[in-house]
Amino acid sequence: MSRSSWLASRSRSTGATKPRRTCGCCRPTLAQLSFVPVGTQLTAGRPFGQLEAAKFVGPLVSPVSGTVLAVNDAAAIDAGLTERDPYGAGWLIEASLSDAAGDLPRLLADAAEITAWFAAKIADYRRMGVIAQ
Amino acid sequence: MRVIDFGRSSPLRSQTLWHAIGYGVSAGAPVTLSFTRPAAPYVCIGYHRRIDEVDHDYCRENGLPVFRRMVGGGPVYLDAGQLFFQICLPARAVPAARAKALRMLLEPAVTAFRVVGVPASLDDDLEVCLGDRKICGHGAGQIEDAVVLCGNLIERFDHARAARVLAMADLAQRDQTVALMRRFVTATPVDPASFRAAMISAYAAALGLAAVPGELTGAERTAVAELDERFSSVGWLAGPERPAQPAGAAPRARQVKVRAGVWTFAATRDGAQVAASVVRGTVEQVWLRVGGLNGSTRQAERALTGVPLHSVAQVLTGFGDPGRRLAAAFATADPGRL
Repeated sequence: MSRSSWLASRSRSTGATKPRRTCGCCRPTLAQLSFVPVGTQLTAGRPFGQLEAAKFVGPLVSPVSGTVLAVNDAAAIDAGLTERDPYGAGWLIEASLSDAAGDLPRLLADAAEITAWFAAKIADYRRMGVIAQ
Repeated sequence: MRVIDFGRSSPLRSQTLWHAIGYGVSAGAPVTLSFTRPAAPYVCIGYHRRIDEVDHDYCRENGLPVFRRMVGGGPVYLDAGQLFFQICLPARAVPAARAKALRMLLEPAVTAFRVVGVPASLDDDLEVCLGDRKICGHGAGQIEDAVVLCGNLIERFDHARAARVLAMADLAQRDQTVALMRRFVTATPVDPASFRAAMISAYAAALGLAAVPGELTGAERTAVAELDERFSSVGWLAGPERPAQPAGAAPRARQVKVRAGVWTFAATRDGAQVAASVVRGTVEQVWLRVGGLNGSTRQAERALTGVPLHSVAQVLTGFGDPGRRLAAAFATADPGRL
């Protein structure tokens, strides 16, 4: 798991990034998604597409370097799919990894790490007033 | 905080100048508050929106250029009656939570409106409002490693033209859209120089920075030239590539958002035509056309007026097969797509 996406490994060299739900209590606001074309070279930390929520357009950041093998047209047509089924039908892109040995160790990988990261994020959001309770 | 007032700009430059600042701030230029006023009217469409939401024939006949911006929101009409502002910061200086970021970036604008005598507020939908009327259109986005929010002081607003530039085949929908714009979008004709001064003070105070007049860097001027070319290209105007609707998928209603929670739509399904305005989830005005209702069309329209959108199908069960077809047309509307 990276800053804003979920990577599911299909083999040693491919994975599909899916949005992570950091806050289930927030109302869904994702309005639009767009992706780079299949075949685009990805760089870890750089965009592989754009999302729009509440009139704010921002980058979808790739957690890994590699090449885009497929994009999820269903999510591009209906962005809400990624909020309704973020770990299933709402996947975003599938990519081959060019530097799995370098990229994967930087990602959160086990349940304890993810739980601690999530708790810290929730605390941050509460402090900022984004989550009321 | 660098402050740049571009004064009057061509329609193209009124977009590309502040986009160039986005690239500049991303590369290390200081936080920047900029202003510009378009010298001529034009239409601007949000990054993701379908280009066919704009009535290109009307725009061409009336000499209105159309440009696509890199921030969000729908197609909008801009002219010299609107003073535009942009605040641009490094992305790391802005909360990652979008609602929090927008609130942080809009609150100084609300302060500025209040300083010049407009009792504005930021509502729960993050619209800058006077009562329930929107007084400032805004959009935001990230350009490389910078975040930019743009908005406007509406000194005069041509509601009819703002609706006319939008592609709406259904005349009932167009009428409803103009009526809602007149009701929910209003100008605040204050002195623009005073507003600009109040904006500079409010953003400097909110960000804890001293305001310093500035100008574009050399790199930003280079970016302007590149953006002029990009924004003038057919490919950029077409927008991001999007997949076609799957074969057999239900056609989508033509939807127009007036402000958060206020929108119109028109839809045709199984020979039934619907045009309706929706205000905070409730159908306010409805126009129906369907075979088989005989003399009951007005009765159906009255029955639907004031009904929550989610209850429309239930009301239409009382109108037999024509009601079923009308319900199917209503079902193609989706506020989640606004």
